[in-house]
Amino acid sequence: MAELGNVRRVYLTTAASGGTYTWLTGEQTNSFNRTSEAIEVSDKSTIWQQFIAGKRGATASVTVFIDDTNEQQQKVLKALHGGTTVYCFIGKVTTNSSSTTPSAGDLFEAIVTSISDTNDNGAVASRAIELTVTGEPTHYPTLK
Amino acid sequence: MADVYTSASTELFKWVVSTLTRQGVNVGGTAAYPRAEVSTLTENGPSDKDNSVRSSALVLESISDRSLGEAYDINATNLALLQDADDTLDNYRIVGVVEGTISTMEDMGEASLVLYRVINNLTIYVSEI
Repeated sequence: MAELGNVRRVYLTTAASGGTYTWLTGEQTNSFNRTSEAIEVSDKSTIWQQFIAGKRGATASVTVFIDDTNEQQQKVLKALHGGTTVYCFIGKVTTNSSSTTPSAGDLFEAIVTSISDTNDNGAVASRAIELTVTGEPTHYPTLK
Repeated sequence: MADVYTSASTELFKWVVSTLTRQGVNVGGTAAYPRAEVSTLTENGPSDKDNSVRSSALVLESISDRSLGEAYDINATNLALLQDADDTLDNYRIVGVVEGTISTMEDMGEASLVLYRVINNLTIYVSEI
C-alpha cells in the first residue's frame, strides 16, 4: 500500500539489534540505496552476456535542519570526526508505552562519509549527511 | 513529535500586529492614516517531517495620505520593530524574518485623496516549540 515519505524516517539506534530508536531531529528528506556488482561470466555458449552477483553494498543520504545542540546530530558529527560507525534505521517504527520497534525498513551500521552544511542567505540552514553501510542491512519485515 | 500539522497563522498574525502597534500609526483594520497593514499572510506547508518548520509569506503595507517619505518611514519602523521583537510565540518560535521586495504605489482613494503605499514582501520562518 502506498504511503508518504513523511512516515519513513531516519532513526539512530544504539546497537545492531534492539536498542533505543531516536529520530534524527530536523530530518527533511532521506534516501536508501542498495547495489550489487554484476560480474560477467559470459562464454561462447550463447551470444547473450551472462552475469553473477558480486559484492553487495548500500548507501544512505539524509538532509536535516542544522541543530548543533541536538544529541542525534552530535552523534553523527562525532562518528565522522572519530572514524567510528553509527547504527541507523530508515523506515517506520511502532511505538508503545515501553519501547519503539522497527516495523518496516532497514537497520544498518554505517560509516559517515560526508556531512555538508549549507548556510544560504535568507533560508534555513541545512545539513546533508552521506552514509556508507558496512555489512548487510537487516530488512523489516524479514525477507521471505 | 508532531504528526499532525497545525497552522501558525493565527499566532503569527497576532504577533505581527502587536509588534507593529505603536503611537502615531494605525495598525490593523481602521480607516485612518497613516496606517500599517498586514495585507496578506500565506503559510506554506511544513518543510520537515516533524511538521515543525514552515515559512510564511507576509505582505506589509505602509500607507500615508501625506507623502511617500512618510510611508517609507513607517515601513522602516515596521522592520525595526519586527527585528527587535521577542521571537517567542505561545507555541512557535520565529526562526528568522527575511526581507524580499519593496514596491511603491500612488493610489487615488475616495474623494480624490491620494494615498502613498509602500508594499514590503517578507518571508518569516517559524518552528514549533
